[in-house]
Amino acid sequence: MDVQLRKGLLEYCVLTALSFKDSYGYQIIKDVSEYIDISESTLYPILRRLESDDKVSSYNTEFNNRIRKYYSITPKGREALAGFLEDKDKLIKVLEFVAGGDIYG
Amino acid sequence: MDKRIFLKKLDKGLKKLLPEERARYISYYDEIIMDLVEGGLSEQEAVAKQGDISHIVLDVMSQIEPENMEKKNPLEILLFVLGCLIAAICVVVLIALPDVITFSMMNEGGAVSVFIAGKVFEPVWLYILTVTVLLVGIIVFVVRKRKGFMIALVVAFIICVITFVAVRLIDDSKSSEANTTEVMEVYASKEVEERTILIIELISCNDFSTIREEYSLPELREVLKDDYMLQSKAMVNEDWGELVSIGTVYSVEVTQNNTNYIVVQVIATYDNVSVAYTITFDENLMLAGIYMM
Repeated sequence: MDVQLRKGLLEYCVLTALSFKDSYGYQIIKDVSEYIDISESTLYPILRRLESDDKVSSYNTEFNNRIRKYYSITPKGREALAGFLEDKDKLIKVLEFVAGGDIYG
Repeated sequence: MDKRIFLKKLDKGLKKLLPEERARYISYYDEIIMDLVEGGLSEQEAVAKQGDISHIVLDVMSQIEPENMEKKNPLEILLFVLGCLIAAICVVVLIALPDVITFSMMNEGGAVSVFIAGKVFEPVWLYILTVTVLLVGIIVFVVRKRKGFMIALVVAFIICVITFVAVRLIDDSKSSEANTTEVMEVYASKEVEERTILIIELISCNDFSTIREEYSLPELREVLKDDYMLQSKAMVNEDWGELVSIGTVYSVEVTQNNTNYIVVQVIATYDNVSVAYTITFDENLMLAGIYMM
């Protein structure tokens, strides 16, 4: 998938994964990678950005004698997801338009 | 590659990030790798799964917010440059620090006056400059709450103190060397004798300005003041009387800190007193020290 497009979509994928329950890095990658390519090095900047935008909050818990950082979606994060879904129809229209294009000339 | 090395390399690769930001990345990868290990992979496999470190770094750097980058503060650069400059000056001063000859002879009568050849100078301005820069540095880093820099500064300060003490110790050992100066050879040339007699004659007729201006090292001019010399003479005897005769001139050449000096001993007889002179010349027969008793 196109890098720019993927970047934009990844944010919402991560928010979606967190909308069910709080999660941690490795689990988020597992959940999201079923739908879209995501690597460890791409996930972290997204989490950081979401955190600084207040769409995600984080907390540490102890797990197997080590610290695991959990992320949790905030109301603002849910708003962002809802906003994205409102654009769903427009997005589908764009996709249909592109799909209906004279691709093979 | 095991996790520890991987994280170390990653930390190095991300050195352009702020320390706290870098620490977040490290703990993030630490956690992910541990999760993968618990998921059944070996540590090596979990690390290998992360891909090439250079790619991770590129990935991270391309997405990092500018405010998380280590910022270069002009003041910090200035302090750094100043610090380097001071270090350079210190080295130059240490190398150029003049040799110190301390020539002292103990006698029952005690030393009447001892002059020291060479410069014994304290680079006070250097201390002031160093302390100023350190203070500015401390203030800047306290204001900016940069723990790492604070530690660096404290280390720098400790290094300064150690250097200072070390220089002092070297000075001391130089002084103790001075006490065990090797006598090179007996040196009794005609020139030395003539110059010695000339100096004694000038002292006898209180013509200190000629000694100052024509026959002494610049360092000695400061102490060869008329009143000081008269005072020194008076301490030997209130009234010397006329110069009657000058005894045999004995001289030795001493080498100290790679500088050669000629030390002369001679007894001059006056109407009322005999004065033992110990006179030090440098290689050009310029006066480097006088001692009378």
